[in-house]
Amino acid sequence: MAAPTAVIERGAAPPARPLGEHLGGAAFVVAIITGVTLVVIAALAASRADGHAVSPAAVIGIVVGVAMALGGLRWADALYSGADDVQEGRALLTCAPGCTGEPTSDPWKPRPLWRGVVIATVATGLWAGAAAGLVAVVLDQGRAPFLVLAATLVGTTAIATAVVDVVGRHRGAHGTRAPAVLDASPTPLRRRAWREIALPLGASQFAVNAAAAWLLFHDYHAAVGPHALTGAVVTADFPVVAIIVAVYFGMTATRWGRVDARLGRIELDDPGAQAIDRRAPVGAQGLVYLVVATVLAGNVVAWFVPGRPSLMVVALVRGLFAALATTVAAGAGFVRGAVNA
Amino acid sequence: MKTRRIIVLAGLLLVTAGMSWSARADDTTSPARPDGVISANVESYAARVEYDIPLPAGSGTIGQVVGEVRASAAGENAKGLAASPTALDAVVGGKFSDPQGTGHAQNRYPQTECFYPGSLVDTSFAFPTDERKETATTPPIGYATAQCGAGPALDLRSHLGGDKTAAAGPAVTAASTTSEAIARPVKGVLEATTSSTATDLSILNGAITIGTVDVRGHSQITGKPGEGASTATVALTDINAGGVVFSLASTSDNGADSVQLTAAGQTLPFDSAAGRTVVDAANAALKPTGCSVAVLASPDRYPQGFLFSRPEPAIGVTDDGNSAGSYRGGLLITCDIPKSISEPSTFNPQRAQILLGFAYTGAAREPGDDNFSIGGFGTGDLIGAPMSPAVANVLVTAPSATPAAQLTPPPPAAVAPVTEPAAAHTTGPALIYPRHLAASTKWILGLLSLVLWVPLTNAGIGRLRRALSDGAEV
Repeated sequence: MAAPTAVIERGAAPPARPLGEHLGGAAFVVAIITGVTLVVIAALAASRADGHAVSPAAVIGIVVGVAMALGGLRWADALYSGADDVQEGRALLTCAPGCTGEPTSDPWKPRPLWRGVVIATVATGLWAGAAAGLVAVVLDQGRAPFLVLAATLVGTTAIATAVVDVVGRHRGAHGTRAPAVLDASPTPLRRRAWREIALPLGASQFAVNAAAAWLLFHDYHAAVGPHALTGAVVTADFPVVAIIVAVYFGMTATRWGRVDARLGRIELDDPGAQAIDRRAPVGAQGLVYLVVATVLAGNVVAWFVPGRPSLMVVALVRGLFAALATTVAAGAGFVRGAVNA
Repeated sequence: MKTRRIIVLAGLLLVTAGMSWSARADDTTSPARPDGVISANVESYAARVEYDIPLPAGSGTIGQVVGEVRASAAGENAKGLAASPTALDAVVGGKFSDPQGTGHAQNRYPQTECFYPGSLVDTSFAFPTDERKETATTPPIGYATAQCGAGPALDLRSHLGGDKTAAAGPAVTAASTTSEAIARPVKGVLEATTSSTATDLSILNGAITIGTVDVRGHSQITGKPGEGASTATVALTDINAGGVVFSLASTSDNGADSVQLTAAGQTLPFDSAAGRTVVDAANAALKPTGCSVAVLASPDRYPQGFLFSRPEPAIGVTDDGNSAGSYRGGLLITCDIPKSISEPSTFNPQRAQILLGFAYTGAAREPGDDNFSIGGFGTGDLIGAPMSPAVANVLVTAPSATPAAQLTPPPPAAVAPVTEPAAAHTTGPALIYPRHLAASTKWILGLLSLVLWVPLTNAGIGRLRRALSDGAEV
């Protein structure tokens, strides 16, 4: 009799924490993960700079760009994560219904959702950029090597992203019981998944990956050798991009779909085809097929890349590939989360 | 409550300031740099041969020395290449390195390169000794050395002596070539100097012969008005083109250009009627050989070959002393290569373009506050592709003209082995100006950042506290 009890205890969800306490812990985790990501970005940026050191202007540019990319995405995910925390019983709302934290409008409607993303993008960019401006003043004429760039990125962008995460989660958590949300009319699943979620995400990743392509390849000037800008070089890491995008957006959008379904925001377009047996939910292994399909699509894209592309072409190609992979992963992930909920 | 917020804001400001000072502390480990970005360029060669097959394919540049030194807030670097005896373009170089196309290089390129910072600061190549294992015991008939160092400084030397050495395919042979280049800041002067000399050149088995090619170039700046200077000269003596003998002297001295021909004991301006008559007579005599000559003097564009390109350099001397540059070319020879010579290649018709004598030097400084330039980050090749894929694909597969070093075994010790190393720098590098961010820029940027940072941080802290308190009184 003891064994089953132990199994149940191990499998039980952790006890719900008050929302404020939960947000603090979540923000800490987000800051750590973001910090690690930023160190990698700093290393890539420094490795591509003359003398492996970037000018003060470049420091500001990189900080602003990275903060915008992370801040906007963080806002959308935090909204859903906050709601998911409440729905899954990880966080407990401590204030009374109708308290000041409760949104008066539906934050998950397409327009408010993506407007919030844009506001978060601009706000994090400005905030982190302003702090980077102060760093640039102190740098005076000097250039920032890797450590300085990494410290600046972490000190500005990680903090801004963590704040966005806390604010977004808080709004999302309270949104689960907001009348405006509960009274919202449901949206057909396909429309919600592909048009309202996956396509905007894909568009955002087009811009992010085009900028990242410039960061990665702007110093590839050689006519031959490892620093020659060739079609093979710029498409070599497509499988890696496909895996990262499929895993991140596939998992993230699954949570988004689950939250939307539990909030009653979506309805099945074709219940006969979309309704699944609860005992056999759509598994995460679908992501593997997505990765394979995306890699194959990448090979097709690589076919059309010129042997010696310009940096503009490289940015477009890599942006398009990432957008395609993101759209597919996010759309499929969202549908999976919604039908499994 | 306001007091606590102010304390938090002040604390965050201190953190940011501390982060900034850590950056500052890191930066102070670097020595001071000249004000702005300084750069000096050098390039000279005795002859450059380019083949059309019929698509353009590069061949080789005989006695070439080419390099650049550059210093900015990011640090300093120097890079250079010295031919020994011929700097090969990528296509021909690939064939030279791997003549059987096995995928494994058999020959080292007959050239040497240096780069500072890095491990390639002092390199050399003895020709043909260092070419491959089998030639390791062959006494050198030429050498190239390339030294790049702090300052930044660049010292390139190339020398080839001996009998007629076919140095760039079947089109050109030369008896000896010597090239040198130095670029560095010295005692407040940023200077770039280069020279190339070649003797006893023969083109297309003697269709055209030249006694001597001698080119020199020098540019210098101090960053002070009126102290910039740049000269470039090209002199070709004893040119025998189909029996018409003449000499050519072309000079650019601080923007004053002159081109003179000497024929039958008379020196004439090239653009005079008599001068043109000499060139016309030479072309008429050369017609049966398929060749023609033209005086290049000051090229419209930088003669940089097909495969590689560089931005058009600034030419002339500016009044503010921040830029000085000049280049000069000698004689441009165009030949339709007879099939007997172009074989065994299947590409016909083949044409060779040969530029005899070229020198370029340039020194430049971008003064003042460059913190707002995207230093360390070029915009890259956003628009133009380095080479169209169609041309690239053809070039990769084209069995272009083979360097003669591959066709002809090196003569057995025709000349005493060259062993002396390149001379060391006699004077150390010197800085030109200290560098600092302009005070106005610093204040504007600092205030703008602060004006943005304080309210945004205040708003961020407010939103954060409200969220973390979750409805409790804050």
